[in-house]
Amino acid sequence: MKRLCRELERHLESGAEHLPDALRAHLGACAKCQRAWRLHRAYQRALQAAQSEPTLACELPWSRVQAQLAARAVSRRPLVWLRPALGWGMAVAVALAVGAALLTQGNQQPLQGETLAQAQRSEPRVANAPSQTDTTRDAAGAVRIEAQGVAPAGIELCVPNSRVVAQATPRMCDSARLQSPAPEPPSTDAYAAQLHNPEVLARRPTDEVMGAPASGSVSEPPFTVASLPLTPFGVNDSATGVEYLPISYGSPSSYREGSSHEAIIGSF
Amino acid sequence: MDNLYAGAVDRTLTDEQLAAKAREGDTAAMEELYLRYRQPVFRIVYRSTRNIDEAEDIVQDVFLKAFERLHTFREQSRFSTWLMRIALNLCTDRARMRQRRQELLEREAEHKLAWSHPSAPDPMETAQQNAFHEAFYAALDQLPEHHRQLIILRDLEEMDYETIAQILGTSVGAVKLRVMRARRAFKAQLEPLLRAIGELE
Repeated sequence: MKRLCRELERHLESGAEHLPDALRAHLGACAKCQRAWRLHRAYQRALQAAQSEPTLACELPWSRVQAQLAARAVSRRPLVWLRPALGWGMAVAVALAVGAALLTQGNQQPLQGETLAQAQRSEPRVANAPSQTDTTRDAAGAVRIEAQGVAPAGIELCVPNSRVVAQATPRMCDSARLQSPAPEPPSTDAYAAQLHNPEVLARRPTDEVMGAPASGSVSEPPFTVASLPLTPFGVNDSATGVEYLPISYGSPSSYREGSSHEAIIGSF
Repeated sequence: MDNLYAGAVDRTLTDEQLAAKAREGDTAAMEELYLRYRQPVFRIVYRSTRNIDEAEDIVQDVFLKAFERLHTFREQSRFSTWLMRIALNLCTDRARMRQRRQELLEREAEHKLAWSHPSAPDPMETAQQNAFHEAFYAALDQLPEHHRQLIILRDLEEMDYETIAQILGTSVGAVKLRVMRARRAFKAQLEPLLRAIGELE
């Protein structure tokens, strides 16, 4: 019986209207198949009713479609030129952005890369090969620093036995930091001897200027990094509340008598 | 659109020949194709949407899309089946939009009780008007779009399986199987409606 039920179901689903005799005989005995048959007949009647519905005529005129086609053709025409223009514009913008990025990177690298340790290690090289910060030692032994972008051309900073390392700070990239020599500078033995001599340390005017103890123990760092920006103008940092006084560069009047140093950078 | 005022085209040309002319911008060929297929396309679209304005909009879109993309017509199938495929795709898109809009409306109605929109037709009311006809389309509306298209193409438009297979881009066997499934689903939707109007015990 189940086989006949499945066969009838398949027969109805295929859309056949007339049943074979075997299935017709089965239909008289199976209530489930009778129900499926009635549903199928109702479906056929509904389908006929829908098919017999008078189809409406399409009132859409060709002129409307034609006008739309023409309008779309006109509106698409500028896009033919717009696409390459946009492409070229984008290419130029990308090229400019890349160029600007490379330029910025090239300017910042020498300033950021130069650390104190690097300066110490590359001292002879720096003296021979000028770079962003040109360091030379004059006849009297003072270090003459010409930091590009820090001081205007023509201004020479003369620091006795100290180094000035051009270093970028977050706020002022072109500022330079004045830094004392490291406790164990590998440069010269005479310098090391000077450093460990308490008398010499006590007479160092730069220590007083920078706030370090004038006569202290040797174990303490004789000199700290000056975070003050080297600028001929006064700077008032409202964010930190620190006021930087204007710098005056070294002159004969600021030269201390009795000092073993040949020059002084200046007073703050 | 260079040939806007071209003369009448030879009406004995086949669809494919007209399509080739239309591809070159022959507006008369376009018009001939439009006049040939406006009504068949409209009939299928109207059966799907049951709204004259919406159906005419879709018909316009079908021909606009067809004429703009004539270069993609490879002549591997007939122009008519290619056109019907575009029509069915646009009907599917519209059905999705309608479904989305309906869902938004229902969601809005849930939030704002003051808002009311027409509910599904009462089966008893439809029984009073045109029972079979309304029940049929009510059931058709409840079908998923892929089933509805097959019922329209096969049972209402009485297309042969081969043409449907070409339109849908599938095999004849697959179409037969899909039609069977669509009918089963359709009957399942139709049965309670017919029972409600007393046409089924």
